[in-house]
Amino acid sequence: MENNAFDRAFEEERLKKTISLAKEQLSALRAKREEKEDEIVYLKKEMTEVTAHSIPNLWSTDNFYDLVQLSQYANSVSDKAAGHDHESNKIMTLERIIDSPYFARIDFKFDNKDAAENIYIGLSTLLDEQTYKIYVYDWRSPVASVFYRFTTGKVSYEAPAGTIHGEVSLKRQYEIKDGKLEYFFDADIQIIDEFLRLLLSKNASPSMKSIVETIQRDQDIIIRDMETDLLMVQGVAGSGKTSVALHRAAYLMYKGLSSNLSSNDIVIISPNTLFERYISNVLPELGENNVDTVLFEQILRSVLKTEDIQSRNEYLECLLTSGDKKYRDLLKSSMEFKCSDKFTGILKRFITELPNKRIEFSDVYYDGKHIETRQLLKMKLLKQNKGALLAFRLEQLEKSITESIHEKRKMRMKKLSSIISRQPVHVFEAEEVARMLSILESTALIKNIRKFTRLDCFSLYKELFADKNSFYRLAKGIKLPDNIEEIINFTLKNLEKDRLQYDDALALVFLNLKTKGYTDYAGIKQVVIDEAQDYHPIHFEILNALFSKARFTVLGDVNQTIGKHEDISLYDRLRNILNRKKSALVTLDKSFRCTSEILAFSSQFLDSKSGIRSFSRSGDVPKVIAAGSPSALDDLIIEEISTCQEKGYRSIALVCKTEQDSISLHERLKSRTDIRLVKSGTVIDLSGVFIIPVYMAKGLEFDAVLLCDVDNRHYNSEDDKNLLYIACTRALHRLNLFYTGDKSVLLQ
Amino acid sequence: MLFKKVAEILADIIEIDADDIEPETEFIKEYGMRAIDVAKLVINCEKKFKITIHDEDVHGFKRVNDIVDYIEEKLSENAALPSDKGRESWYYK
Repeated sequence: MENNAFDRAFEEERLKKTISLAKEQLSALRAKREEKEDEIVYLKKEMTEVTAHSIPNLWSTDNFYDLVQLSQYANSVSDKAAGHDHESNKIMTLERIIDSPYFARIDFKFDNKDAAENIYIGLSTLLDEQTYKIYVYDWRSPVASVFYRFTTGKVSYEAPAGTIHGEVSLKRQYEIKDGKLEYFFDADIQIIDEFLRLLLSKNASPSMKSIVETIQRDQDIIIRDMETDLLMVQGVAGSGKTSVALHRAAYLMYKGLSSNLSSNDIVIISPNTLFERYISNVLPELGENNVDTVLFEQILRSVLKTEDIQSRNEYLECLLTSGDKKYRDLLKSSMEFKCSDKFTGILKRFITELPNKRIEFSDVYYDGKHIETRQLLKMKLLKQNKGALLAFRLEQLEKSITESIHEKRKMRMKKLSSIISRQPVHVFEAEEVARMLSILESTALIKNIRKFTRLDCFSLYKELFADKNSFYRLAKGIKLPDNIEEIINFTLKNLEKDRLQYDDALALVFLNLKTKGYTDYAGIKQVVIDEAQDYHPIHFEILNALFSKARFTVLGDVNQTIGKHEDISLYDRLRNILNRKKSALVTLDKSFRCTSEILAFSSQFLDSKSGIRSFSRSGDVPKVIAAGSPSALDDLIIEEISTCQEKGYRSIALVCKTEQDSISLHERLKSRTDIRLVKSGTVIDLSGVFIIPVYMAKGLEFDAVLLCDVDNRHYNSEDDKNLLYIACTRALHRLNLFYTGDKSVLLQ
Repeated sequence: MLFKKVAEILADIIEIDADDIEPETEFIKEYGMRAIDVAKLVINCEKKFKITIHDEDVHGFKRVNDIVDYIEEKLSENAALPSDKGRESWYYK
């Protein structure tokens, strides 16, 4: 809709006033601070001068008054310094307000008032200290909840003084950057997607407006759902899944704040480090401190307490770059098997038989007496509560053994002392020497006991594969892959290495959680998982064990998998593993990010053409561009980059198949244009020109994409088809593909 | 402070300046402590804090803070017990 001139002038004026107030406060604060800084320096100086003489003999009672004097100076310095920190925060907040003071407004008429008030909502409160007029309300304040929770009409919200009733006549959203009002629009519901917002701010036709509102309504249902324990969202590329996930986190946090839960109760499981940066761009309310973003690899590292673990990206790089097809197939089938519910089934049986079959108890002797026999120890363990974790049960067993040792220690010490006292060498240190002997023998004893009371998951895991007979016994009734022998041998070989393979690390974490438990995440109430299609059953088993009391929001797209095949049954499997009381699956099938041309082009890589509905926004048709030689290819790419830059695109991505390809392309181009390379673990701002491997580009979006090396050597299999689909759907406005040599068969 | 007291006991046994000892110091490695010195450390801590240190726990003391943590735990256990049950001196005498 067109903003009418009157509204526009009103909003411009209002923005100007708000910013000038913030600027006024800022300069007053800065002046005051300078004054204070001088004061602190002066006080510190005075303190050393006045009290220096008294410090050496401060603690004698005569100098009590010196001590008092010193502490008076010190107190006033530290008070002032604390005030100083507080003001630094305030200055930062004001600077942020001047940049973008608010993002929404509601016109709210309190039931007991005649006129509606304009309530502007922003990241923090701005108050005119003279008139007490609030220019901006903090988005966490009670009245702001109306914006998040209601459409226009009769509303109510909880305030410290009780329930407040009123009526909302307008909901307006703004885009303000660098203190300038870029656009605003009115909509009944909050429009969260930057794209949809931009659409609405321009001359959107009524039909367009209604489409946007339906999309938003679909998303809104997901964002605000509080009933479901497990909410699964299947959304096609460009349907706004990620922004939905983030807004759901914000909404849940919002609800959490009003019921006094801390924001740390929410965790987002994200695929890579790039994602974290993206989050703060999409949704400023979420800020970095407010929600924990956890990489799956971080979970593996903290449970296993080691850094020597292959990351998922390293695994994918191995899989994508290896020229040896047999090796590639083995890598893939090993990963597939060890992440499957078949293998977790075997692991579960293995864990059940640990107490009975795998723990090697031994007799315990102390002071020449037999205190426990191995049979008795095993019986004690088997008699314990089977619901408790095995590690805990063993700990109890160890405690009962040490307790009976403690009872006999007095006698033992007597014996040791009498032996010592018969040796004249030790006559002056008899007590110490006897104690030393006791410590030495007790150390040896406890080390022996711990051979069976402490679980070593790594050796147990190795044993599982080394003892092939019992492996097959445990797998009875489970259909194993044809190359299981090969997988077992491959695993045994890998376990000899210092660095754990990604799939073995997952299995080990599973084993650890099921025998020892892990409590670091026990307080988490909400878990949001993005890119769920990349996870296997074992991932969900692990998440379920870690966040046993949490509600889950799971988002994914079964068409965007890398290195595995997936279909809609993913969600059924997920439902079985996470096993929550109330679960629901929602489908987002309207893709509105890419132009229809890009979407049409990308859909050639999908097996089923159904599902995706495009949103009428058109652009250039993607081209597949051939170059006669590698150097001609580079020229064409450079040319395309400058075309994109002329068109004003802010993020331009050169997508390669692997990190190796990215590195070599970067080497070739870096002297010719300003270009950055994105590697595992890098966190950069996603604007400018950069080179990125396709598996890292997942979940991200760029104004323009140049997909490089679409020759037949790089892209020829079913798995590669998925990669092409992912790479192409990253583009919002412009997509072109480049190759030299033979064109990929997938593009015919 | 608990750490300071432990550091003093330790310094006394190995004859160094207590100020040189830090919470993360791996005392056995760093000062080449003999088994007999460790026994003295254990006995003196028990006397000072009126607690019992179980001999099978001693091998876990690597850093000074390991002892401090152990003593802290024992003291809080003892706080829950009636008085003078703290160091059950009959154990080792």
